[in-house]
Amino acid sequence: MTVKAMRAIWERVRSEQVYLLWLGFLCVILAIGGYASGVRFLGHEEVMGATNLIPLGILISTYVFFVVTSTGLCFITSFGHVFGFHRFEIIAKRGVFLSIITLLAGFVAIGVETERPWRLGSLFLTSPNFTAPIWWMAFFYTLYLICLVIELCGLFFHKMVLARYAGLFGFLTAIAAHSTLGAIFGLIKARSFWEGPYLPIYFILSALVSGTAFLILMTVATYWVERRPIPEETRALLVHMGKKLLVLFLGIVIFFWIWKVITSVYGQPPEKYEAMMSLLAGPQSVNFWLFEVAIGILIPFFFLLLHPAARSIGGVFIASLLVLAGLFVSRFDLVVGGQIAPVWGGPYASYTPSGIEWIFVLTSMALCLLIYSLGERLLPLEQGDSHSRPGQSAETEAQGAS
Amino acid sequence: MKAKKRYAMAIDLNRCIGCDSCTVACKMENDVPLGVWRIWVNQREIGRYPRVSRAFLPVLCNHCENPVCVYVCPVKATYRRKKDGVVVVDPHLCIGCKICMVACPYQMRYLDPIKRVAQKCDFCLHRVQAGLNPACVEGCPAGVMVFGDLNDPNSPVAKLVSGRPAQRLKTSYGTYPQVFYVGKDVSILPFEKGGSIYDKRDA
Repeated sequence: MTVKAMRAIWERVRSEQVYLLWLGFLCVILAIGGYASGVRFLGHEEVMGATNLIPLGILISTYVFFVVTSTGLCFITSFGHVFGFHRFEIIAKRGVFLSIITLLAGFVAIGVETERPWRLGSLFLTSPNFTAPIWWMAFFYTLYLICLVIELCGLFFHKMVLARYAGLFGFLTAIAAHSTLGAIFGLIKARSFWEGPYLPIYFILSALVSGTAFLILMTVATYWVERRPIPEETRALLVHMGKKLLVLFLGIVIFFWIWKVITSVYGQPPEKYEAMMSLLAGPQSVNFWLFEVAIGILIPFFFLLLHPAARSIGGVFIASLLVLAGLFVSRFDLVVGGQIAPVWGGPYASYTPSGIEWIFVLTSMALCLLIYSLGERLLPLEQGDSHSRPGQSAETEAQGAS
Repeated sequence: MKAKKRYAMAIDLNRCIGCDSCTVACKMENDVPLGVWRIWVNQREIGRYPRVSRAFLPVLCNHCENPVCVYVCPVKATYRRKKDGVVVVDPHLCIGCKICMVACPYQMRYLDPIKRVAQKCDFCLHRVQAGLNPACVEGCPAGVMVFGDLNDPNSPVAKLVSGRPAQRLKTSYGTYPQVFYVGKDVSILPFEKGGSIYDKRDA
């Protein structure tokens, strides 16, 4: 290798310092996550915070958070090239790509939560139980992942018919998969806080909130970090998504929550009442009122609805950030809330996520961000993708332009 | 054709003294780790001083005829044996997703912290197949528990269940437990929420 070539590489590295540092930072988190999974699966100490009274903990809620977001992203992006709202086509590629990686991040979270994840693949195939919602969820999410990958390929290579049908099928499998996830909780009769048709429906609706907020957040953050101006069309669409769609979806969630609370406390139905009271006035009340209701729903809702700053891109960015923070806590409250009232009565069970569980949560987030950071550089994620970005090959640019 | 068996247990609540011998015998027999149980005695004080008493309710896997844990297991690691109705866990199939633990209305499953699979009472099948009683039945000093084949009208358990008013726990879930309680009316004891005749403050 000549000195000139080495110097060229060095110059490239220097100009990319911040980006490489960011990638390095994410890799360090992943390495810590790898070590933590070694401690979890090879060690002999119990390192998880989940107990026998509350077996499903923060990793399940993180899984729910990510796959809800993935489903929502799939819904939002399919508005454009599947259902013909052409305005949304400019966010299609990034949306579908984010949809895939949030799904993968979710799989990581549930993988490390499961006690014996290495048995998952083979047993789901060799010993399937068709009455189990978990089996169906795995089946539908696998189909969904395949559809998303085909859809993304179709978008990259401008095979719009392929993208459209893969998108349509992905949309349908997303509904199937995601409502089945709701049914995992909804079909558990022993936990009346979850039981019923409410959760499958609520999951689909809250997916729209989650997906919209996540897409706004990641798109705006990408342009800001890369110090590029947001194209006018994209800016207008993002503000529209925040100011109109997010407000509408949040309104639906508020409506749903009001009735969920009323049906859970009216007449004090056994078990359901105790679980709801843990949210309203019990051990989960700070999570519920501060994070879930105030930060996650009411502040962004009224901000987007009434404040003039909500017309700016910064306004919708902040609102999306609040919504996602609230939703993350909301999933936690939902998962823990169903288990917090022991079936034999007595005081509320307690659950605090352990350090290892937090590391796994951060690991799944870091994985999501790492794949996105790489994809943002290596894949043509924008419509037309006319701008030149470092790391993007001439070949993909030519495909983007054609 | 050999008739199918239907293993069941009857628990006489009038006899239980709350000594936890069943728990200890089970733990020794089945090598149950620290902090988890296959059978335990739920205890509640009822009434107010000076008229107080204590109610005992030994609880174990109910080996339901309609077991929800079997429905929700994604890999058929838990199943109800056709020949005798005992609900068992195959530790070689369990992936440790813990959904059965959440789905059981009796919260009678636990995660084995050593084997890292879901576990629960299996009526001591290894003993039963050798012609012995489950360890809890043997260990109980008051003869609270009676085990046997409910399909055999001459078995002690069939006689006990058919001869006296017998109850099952949480029947509203439609699980049809195979563990029966005799001697006291379970529905008025303060073990199930909403099922007590006593003031809430007593429960």
